[in-house]
Amino acid sequence: MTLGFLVVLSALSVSNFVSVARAHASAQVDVKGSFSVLGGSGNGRLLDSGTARLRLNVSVSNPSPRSLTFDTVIYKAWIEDGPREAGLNSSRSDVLVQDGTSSRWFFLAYSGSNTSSQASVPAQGTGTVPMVLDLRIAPDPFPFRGVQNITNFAVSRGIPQSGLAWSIFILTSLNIDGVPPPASNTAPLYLIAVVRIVLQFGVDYGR
Amino acid sequence: MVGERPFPFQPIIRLLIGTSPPALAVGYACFYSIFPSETFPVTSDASAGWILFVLLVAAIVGGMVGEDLREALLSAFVAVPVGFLLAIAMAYTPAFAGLYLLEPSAVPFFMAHYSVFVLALAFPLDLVGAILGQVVRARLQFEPAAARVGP
Repeated sequence: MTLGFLVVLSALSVSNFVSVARAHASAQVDVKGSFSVLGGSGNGRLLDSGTARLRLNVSVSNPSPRSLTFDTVIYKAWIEDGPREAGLNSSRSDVLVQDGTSSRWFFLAYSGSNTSSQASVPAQGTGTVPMVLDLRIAPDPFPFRGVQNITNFAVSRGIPQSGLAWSIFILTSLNIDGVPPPASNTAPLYLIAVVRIVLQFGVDYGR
Repeated sequence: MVGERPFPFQPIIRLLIGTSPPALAVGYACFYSIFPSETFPVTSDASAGWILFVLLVAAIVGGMVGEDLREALLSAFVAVPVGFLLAIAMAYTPAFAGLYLLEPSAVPFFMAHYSVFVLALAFPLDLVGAILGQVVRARLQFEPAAARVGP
């Protein structure tokens, strides 16, 4: 009977362990974004009183048998700096992205983090955190001016808002449901790391 | 006339049976102490009381199997390294599904590093359990006889 009890105990432990490993190995993040200008002049130009809005839907697909809960979503969004590439404005602190022989300049328009969603990702399902990022002249005059210059330049060239190129970086952490974090302050790092999944989308070009 | 000869592998089988509960307990206890939140029962931190309980009960049960104290102690000795191998096997289980929570080559060292306390605890506990198991076994064998000669 004792042997049977130990076998059941070990089997349940292994099953639990494998399901956590599956959650770590199989969860994937995807991001869909759309950009719009609110309070514009009607022709797509971003006025000083307007708002540059980026909607991001951060989705995590979870084929594992464990449900997950979003903890933190760190985001950065760069917009391709058309004026800089056209040689009109080289004063902005852009990042240079080289892809083979082509070089493109990107301007960091949005960055921050979201910890309030606590959205859940069901087992063998998908969960999404919708984020609406608004950029106004106050309190973000520097990024706003940059986005304003880039969008207005695009309008002058007949490029629609949907045609603006973005580079999105997402780093999100999710807690695995039913896997409690260690209560002890002296717990080893692997125990803190194993209870949550960290997923990345895109490339972080820094600031 | 040829007398009935005992089955030659009987001591080995008894040793294996006697080793199984404490070895499985050592394996489980090592695994549980390293991953308390991913095993069963799920706890935020490993419970020393639970580990002691599992190890001691299994050691006593294993000790009861031995024909004599020497056999019981031998089972207790063998149980610790076998249990450690079982713990490593448990840590490798996600690999059977093509998953790796830990770097495969690092698993044995990782397990050895973090289960050293449980292994050190298991050794004396298994020995004590083996002795207690023999005491319990002796009592269970004598009790029916005592009942027969009673008033």
